[in-house]
Amino acid sequence: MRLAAALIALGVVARLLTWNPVAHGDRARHVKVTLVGGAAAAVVAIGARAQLGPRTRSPLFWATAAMIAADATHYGRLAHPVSRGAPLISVGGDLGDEASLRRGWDVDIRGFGSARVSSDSLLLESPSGSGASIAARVPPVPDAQRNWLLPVGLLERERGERVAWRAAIYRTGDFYVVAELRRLLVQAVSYGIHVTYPDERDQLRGHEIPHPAVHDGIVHEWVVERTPRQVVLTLDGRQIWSAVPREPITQVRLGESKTDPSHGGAMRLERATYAVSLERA
Amino acid sequence: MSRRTVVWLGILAFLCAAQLASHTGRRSGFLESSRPVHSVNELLPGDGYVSWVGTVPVLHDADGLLTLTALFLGDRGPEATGILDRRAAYAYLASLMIPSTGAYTGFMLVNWIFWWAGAASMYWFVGQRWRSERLAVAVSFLVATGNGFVFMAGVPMSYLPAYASVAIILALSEWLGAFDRHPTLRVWLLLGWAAGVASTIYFAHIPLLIFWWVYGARRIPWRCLVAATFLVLGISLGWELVGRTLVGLEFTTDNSSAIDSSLRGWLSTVLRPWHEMLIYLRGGPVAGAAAIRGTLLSAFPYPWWALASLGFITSPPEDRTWALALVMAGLVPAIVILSLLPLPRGAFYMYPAVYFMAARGALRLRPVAGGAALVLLALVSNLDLLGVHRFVTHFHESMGAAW
Repeated sequence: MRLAAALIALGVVARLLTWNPVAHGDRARHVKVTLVGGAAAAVVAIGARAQLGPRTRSPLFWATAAMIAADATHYGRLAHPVSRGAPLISVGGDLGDEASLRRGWDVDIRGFGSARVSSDSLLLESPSGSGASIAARVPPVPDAQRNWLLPVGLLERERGERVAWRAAIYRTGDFYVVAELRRLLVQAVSYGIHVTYPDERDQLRGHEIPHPAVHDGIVHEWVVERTPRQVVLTLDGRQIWSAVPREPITQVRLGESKTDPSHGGAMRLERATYAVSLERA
Repeated sequence: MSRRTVVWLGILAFLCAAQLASHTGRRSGFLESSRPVHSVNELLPGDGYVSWVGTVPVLHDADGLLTLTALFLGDRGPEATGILDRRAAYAYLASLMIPSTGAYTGFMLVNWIFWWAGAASMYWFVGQRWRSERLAVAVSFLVATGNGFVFMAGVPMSYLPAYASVAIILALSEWLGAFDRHPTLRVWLLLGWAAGVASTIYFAHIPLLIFWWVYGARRIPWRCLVAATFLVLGISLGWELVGRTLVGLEFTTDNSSAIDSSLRGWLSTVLRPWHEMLIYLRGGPVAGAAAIRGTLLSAFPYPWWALASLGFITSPPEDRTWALALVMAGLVPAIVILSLLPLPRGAFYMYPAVYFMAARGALRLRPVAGGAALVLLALVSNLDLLGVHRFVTHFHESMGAAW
């Protein structure tokens, strides 16, 4: 019985000490659930001791069974990569070979457009009236209401998204779509970059951003990051546009997606990624 | 443990598993009985009073236990945990299973373990008390194929474990020698502990308390009964106190108000002229729903009563007394609530007595006929699998004054 009591006490203390806000959620709630679980295991152990007498190992057996069953959930959640900061979803990477392209992306060619993989990049070419783009193959977010070993944070924490790509732009038409992220449209235009995004009335609104990066033909680092508070476009580490987010991104398409005559150009993509993560704060 | 015992326990486990597997989801008796085609409630959708665990349809009341299970898994706080906070032990046990098995399967595993434990307990209990292997096999077979168990098997709610708790605690009382000539206070405190824990599954403790007092009042020192009763109620109320103050559960509603209303109904009936009261009790046009007979026949259809009557008539007085005390354990709660609604599933708590007497009745027949009678009862329990839902319907909605 002493062993059973020690096991329960140790198990409860260990669970309290290994609390993780992402894995286990609210601390006060975790403490309550852990104490109730410990009390329930104690009720079982005391009952076994009382019914079967002092010389039986039954209390230890039943206490172990109750504690291990609950520990499996606790430590399973703690050990999950998401609890340690890994993204919920991660798609993409280097685009220098066909296999890695096909693993994370669907290639969408329209008209005379083309997509060619070279040794270190993917070249998307779309003459006027044609399209050439890649769309991220986004897997569903794991459902914590079906898989109970997933961190509790999935149920209650807000999520952030990050789309990053390294690319050189070669615009030939009046417009060239660099990225279409659901209703966030990033286009290369004569003066630089044109961003379209819904405003506070949910009406699509254009933003003109003079910038030389889309004319120089060299590779730049593009990042769109959405948090619950804002959506930000940065280019080579400098923020060039931001807005209040209207919706999650969830759909990622890079390259020319419009096939009207005013659109055309090419983009050489070295790397592209999309990730969904839990907000840590 | 003999090889024959191990084999029989294995057969019981298989029987429970097979019937549980064949009554999951849409084929659950409780859910089926709520469909408008069977139910008095025509406002329900075609699937009945339904909710969903993933893609599995379950009786809507199970929602409360799903919420409680999520609480025990640390997935949510105690807000709006619903009407089933007093039955939290079932959700706690399920929460130990669900992460590794999935939600519905976890609940079903808990049901299966309890069902098997109930049947195995009756096997041991009857074998120990009556020293008859045949009787023990027959009674445990009836538990493993029992109509109430089959009806509740596929629903993630605490009815089945509560039914099984009665058998388990009956076996425990035999194990402890609680009804021996000179039982100790310690033994009754242990029984009180067991029934108190069972009270956190569902109200199995009330039938047990009634049985203890009815059967034990002239056999057991009252200090033992009083101590056990206080302990049972203390654990039951203690959980509510802890649940409210420390865990933050709301214990929003319970059936206390229903019991109050029902008792008031009885009082107004008793105050009527005697001939009106008799009509009421007869379940005639004055209060058809209140027919006691209908409630009992819905809890156990005729074949059980027929065999149980034979068993009762041929039993020695001591066994009749024991069985009648257990019948009271199911009958009293059913009668208390009866003026508000007939509750066959409440009356079913007397099943150890009815099944015991039915098994004895079957064994009084010629061997082939007795065996056939037991198999017949198992078939009646599972008639819904053949599309005959009448018995299923009545277990939920009493047949009232109808014969």
